[in-house]
Amino acid sequence: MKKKLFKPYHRTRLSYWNTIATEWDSIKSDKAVVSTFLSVTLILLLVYAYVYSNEVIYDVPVAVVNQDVSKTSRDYIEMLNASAGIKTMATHTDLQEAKHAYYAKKVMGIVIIPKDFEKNIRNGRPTAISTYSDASNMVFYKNVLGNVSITNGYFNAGIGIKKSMAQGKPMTAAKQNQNPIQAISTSLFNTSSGYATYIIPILTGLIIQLVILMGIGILYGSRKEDKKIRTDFPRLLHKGGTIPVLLGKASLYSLIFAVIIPIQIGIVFTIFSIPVRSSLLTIYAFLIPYIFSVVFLGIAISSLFKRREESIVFLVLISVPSLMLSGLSYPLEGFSHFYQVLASVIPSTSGIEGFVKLTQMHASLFEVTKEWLHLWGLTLIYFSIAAASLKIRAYNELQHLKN
Amino acid sequence: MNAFLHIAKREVGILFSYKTNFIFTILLPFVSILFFNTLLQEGVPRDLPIAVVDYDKTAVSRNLIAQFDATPELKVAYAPLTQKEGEPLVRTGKIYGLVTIPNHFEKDLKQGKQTKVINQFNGNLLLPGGLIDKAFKKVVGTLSASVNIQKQLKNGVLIKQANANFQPISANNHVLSNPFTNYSYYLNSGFLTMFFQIFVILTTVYSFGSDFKYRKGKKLYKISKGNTFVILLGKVLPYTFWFFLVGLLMYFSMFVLQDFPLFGNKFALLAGLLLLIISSQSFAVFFISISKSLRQALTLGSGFGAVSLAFSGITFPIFGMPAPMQWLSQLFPFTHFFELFLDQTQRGIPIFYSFYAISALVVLSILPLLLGWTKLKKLLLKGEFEHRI
Repeated sequence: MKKKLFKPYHRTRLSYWNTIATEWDSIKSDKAVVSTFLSVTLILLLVYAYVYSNEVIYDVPVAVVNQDVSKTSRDYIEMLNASAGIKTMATHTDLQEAKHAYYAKKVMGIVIIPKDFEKNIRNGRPTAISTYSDASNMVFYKNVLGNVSITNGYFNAGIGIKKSMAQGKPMTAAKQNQNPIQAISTSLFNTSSGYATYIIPILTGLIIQLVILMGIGILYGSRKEDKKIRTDFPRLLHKGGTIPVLLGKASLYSLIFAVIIPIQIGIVFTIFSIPVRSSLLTIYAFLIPYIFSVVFLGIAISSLFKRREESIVFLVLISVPSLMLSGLSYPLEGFSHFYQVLASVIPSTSGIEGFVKLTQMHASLFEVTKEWLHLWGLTLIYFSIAAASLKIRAYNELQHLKN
Repeated sequence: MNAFLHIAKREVGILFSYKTNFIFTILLPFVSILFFNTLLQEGVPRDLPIAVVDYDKTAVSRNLIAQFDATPELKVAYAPLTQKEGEPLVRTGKIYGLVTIPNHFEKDLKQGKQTKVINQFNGNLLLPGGLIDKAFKKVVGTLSASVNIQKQLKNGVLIKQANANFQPISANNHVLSNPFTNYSYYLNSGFLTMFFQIFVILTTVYSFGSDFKYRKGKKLYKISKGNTFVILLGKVLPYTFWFFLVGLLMYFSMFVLQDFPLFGNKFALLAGLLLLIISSQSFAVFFISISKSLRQALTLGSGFGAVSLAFSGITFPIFGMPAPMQWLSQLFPFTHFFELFLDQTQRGIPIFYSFYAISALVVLSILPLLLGWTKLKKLLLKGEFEHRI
């Protein structure tokens, strides 16, 4: 009885360690895979972080058309200039001139101070500031419009408060009267809405999927070209023989990322001061089902490729859509039902979401259980598909050999 | 001429007899056009979930909640009893913002004291976070203004004067280029054309590279009697032509089906498309000539294509990048194409101002070929890559 149980256990164990050794050897000896791992996980992440390292856009140039030329209008321009987001360029006298500056992209927006600006304010008559902001780039648009609105708000409040004070109200009462309800808006997690802080954790999550799929695709493709799947993993065709092979591969990639993740966080996150708000152990615990499901997905889809190059092309093409579908660039609520379902079967959707919540939004492992369990579900599904496809492949090779 | 036709015919034959080439060249570009056109169909995010903690529980606070809910951007999805109950909702991403209405909200308002409403929004999600912040400030601002104006009315000020008192300077905001701030116009302009560009690069690399991987370089050399230029034209032109057709269909999907803004010069737009294809192919040939294997050329090509999105300034303006990256961004044809594309579609500015972008595209079409020419010649003579894999 004991022997009966021990034999399959022993063979499974052997096959498991054999898989890890074989896969590690092929990764090590395949220059393509090593260079993919290094260049994508570190160099690409560093380049992206550097590109976005300024985080926030300051001093967007804006043209001011001052039709009033009064002290109040100059005060207004000073105030506009003092706001962090925009910088007023040479003031123009007519709109046509400002338009040319806009065409030549010297300015990203135009602000017009109307005639009789000062006079109307002193008379208590309404007047209006006109802005033209270019919404073909949302960042410029938000900067121009947002900063002009804020300046308007302060300028208005200043006038209103002075008026109340002129009527004999004390300063505090005047202030309270002007704005009975204060809107206090606090930005959580990424307080300055920095772009690097936003995109780098997302990319780190996405890169895990991209690199594993590429690595598996390239290795599998070359084994397929050389018809070496069955010989590399000899126990594949035995009953239950795919289980140790698949688990072995998944464990190996998990181990590789157990080394890569601390390096990424330690180097890239530290240099560009991107916060990490969870412990490494939590990240590991969360990433295990993510890496497992990606590995199994990789094995399942690599049966589609005949040559090793095809996987590279295919994976580059799906990486951008999977970033879009993760719901972090554009909210998931805006997608149709079809795309929400599609998003849920891609591991990176839950993987990136959980990773960002853990590292950026201060969530505990308990609070990302939904994503964690979802990833385990995907792991199970892709495990069965991968097992089936491996078996078929090995069987085909055997047939091929016999013929 | 004969040699050119021979190679071009052979290329078209390969396209239809190999499944991979067929899928990557003919099927997938259409899939990507379909994907991006249907993904962001709504264009503007609506009904983003928020939670409101109402400590006050009065008619005024309920009115405020109703106003939040009535704003197109917001949907009050949760009503936690305490602040503490609401915080995990933010962390788990169920809501994008947590609004707190303090105790004595109504009472303070009626007594003429200043009170406040707090919104803690998820700044980590830039787009929904920003929208929620803006919508929140607008709703509270409107309520605050109405309180201020009513107070003035009670003091006997006329409504017109009360308005002017509260807001002496109003804002006339004109939104140029994309007046509805539609994110589909904004993002898809970039994604569709960027993907199109990746397809051009990858198929060119793949078609050229497979010949070298399977040692067909010498055959090409023989057909053309050693004329590198003829080989280049024969291999590349069928794809140039094909992708121009795909590009037209992409434009059709954007401007006819999706109604993207199109205010500029249509000929410049077509010229830009053609130049984007040619310059991408030129870069692809360059990558082939400097690579040691097909795999390496594909990695270079796909990397170049994918990073070009970041360098085009669509998500984060080039203006805000560190100076070396600003210089680097000028090396990507896509950067210039996208500039031209925006100028001649959304911004609708005179063609004169797009001159720089067009000439940069022309330069980037020629430069990579010149750089890779001698290496390409050597590669053709050798007939295969240095490494098979």
